[in-house]
Amino acid sequence: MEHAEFKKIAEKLTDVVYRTALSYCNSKSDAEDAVQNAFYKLLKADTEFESDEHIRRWLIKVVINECKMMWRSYWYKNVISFEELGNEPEYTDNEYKELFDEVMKLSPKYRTVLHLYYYEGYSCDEIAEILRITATAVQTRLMRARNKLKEQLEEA
Amino acid sequence: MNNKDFEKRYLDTFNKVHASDELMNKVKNLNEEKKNLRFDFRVVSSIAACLVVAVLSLILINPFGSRENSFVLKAGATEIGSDSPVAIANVHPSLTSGGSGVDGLTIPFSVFCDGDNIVSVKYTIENAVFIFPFEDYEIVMNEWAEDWRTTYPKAAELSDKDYDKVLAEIKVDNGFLDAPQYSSYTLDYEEQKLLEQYDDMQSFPIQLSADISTEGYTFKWVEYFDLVSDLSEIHEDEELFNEMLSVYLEETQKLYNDMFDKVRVIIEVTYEDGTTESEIFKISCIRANEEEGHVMGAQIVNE
Repeated sequence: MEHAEFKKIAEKLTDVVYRTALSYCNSKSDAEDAVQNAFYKLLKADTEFESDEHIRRWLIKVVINECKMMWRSYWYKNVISFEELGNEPEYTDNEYKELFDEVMKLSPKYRTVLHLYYYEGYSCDEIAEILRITATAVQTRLMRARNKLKEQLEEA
Repeated sequence: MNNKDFEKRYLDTFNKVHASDELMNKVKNLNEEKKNLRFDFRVVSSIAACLVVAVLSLILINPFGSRENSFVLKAGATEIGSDSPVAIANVHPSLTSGGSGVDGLTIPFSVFCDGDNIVSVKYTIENAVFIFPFEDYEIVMNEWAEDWRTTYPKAAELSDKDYDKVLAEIKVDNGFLDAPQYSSYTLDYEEQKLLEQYDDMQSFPIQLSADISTEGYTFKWVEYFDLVSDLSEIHEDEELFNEMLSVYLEETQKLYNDMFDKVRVIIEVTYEDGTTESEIFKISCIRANEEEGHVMGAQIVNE
């Protein structure tokens, strides 16, 4: 991939890929590592991309896989507590902070579908294709995520 | 808060999340970092030293060099190839409610994937279903569920993993009460590897179940039960009994193989780079040894 082209993609998509990574990892530094790995893989990729949207989905897919790889390592599962991983953006408005905190309390699989659906605006079928799960599983996760979030927000 | 309000609040919240300038610059310059390398003896000697260590480590740890995307399906420690089928478990016929016949065949589905750079594995089945016996007891026999979970805690734990199950469109009459039946499940690589360590087939948390109650098999099953009843009536004549037993086992094997003939298991792995690879496997039946009571064993081979 030409440097100018890569730079243009990086400018356009780093935020998108970072938000997706953060919604999975719930840790700024891990999300940043995952983002760099994903873009590095893009540099190395032999894939013939058909469109900008193709690159966008490819990067989302790869960054989620990168996050999964980090998350499943023994060190993350057993040594670092969930709270310790938190590293949130600064909010001045309490309403946003509250939602961010509660979303981050959900499990990664719920956070990811919520993010892809509500923020990236993908349909259930598109999310199913990105995450390589069925559309039914996406719908189920969305429903459970919304219910859990609702309960948490009511309790908060 | 309705869905629209929630969507807006979610968007507003995450709109405030941005990659730092430092990250943006790092990403943008990923390509340039390589170009900007200058000849510097200190850098070169450090890199050379690292390379020597890395190469030595690779030679010692991984004699085949860098790890490329790859996977194999295994039953226990044995790789399942295309040359010869590998035994996975005994076939269990399930009795009809009245105990007068058999209405399905079930196999503990004790296979798993092994390989490099794998993120997740999807197991799909055609012309049969997957069932999760613990789920069956959870749903249908609540009062027994706790007993089962206490008796087989490890199996219960494995059963509780996130399998991303997909319900089967066609139901199989398999005698497993009203257990939900699935056409596929997907597991994270490490989680599906946990199954490797669980070798109690009696309580294995995933089962493959094939149907016999289709029209094509009805006649065969009448013949099968004639053979079984003949066998029970002639036990006093040893010679005749052995002869009939041999016929019975041969017929049973043929029948089971007919039933598994169209069953295919499709294994699809997703690698870290987002690519996928899949292989198709076929199930068949063999006679287990006499010491095991003339039971039938299931085996699997790469098609």
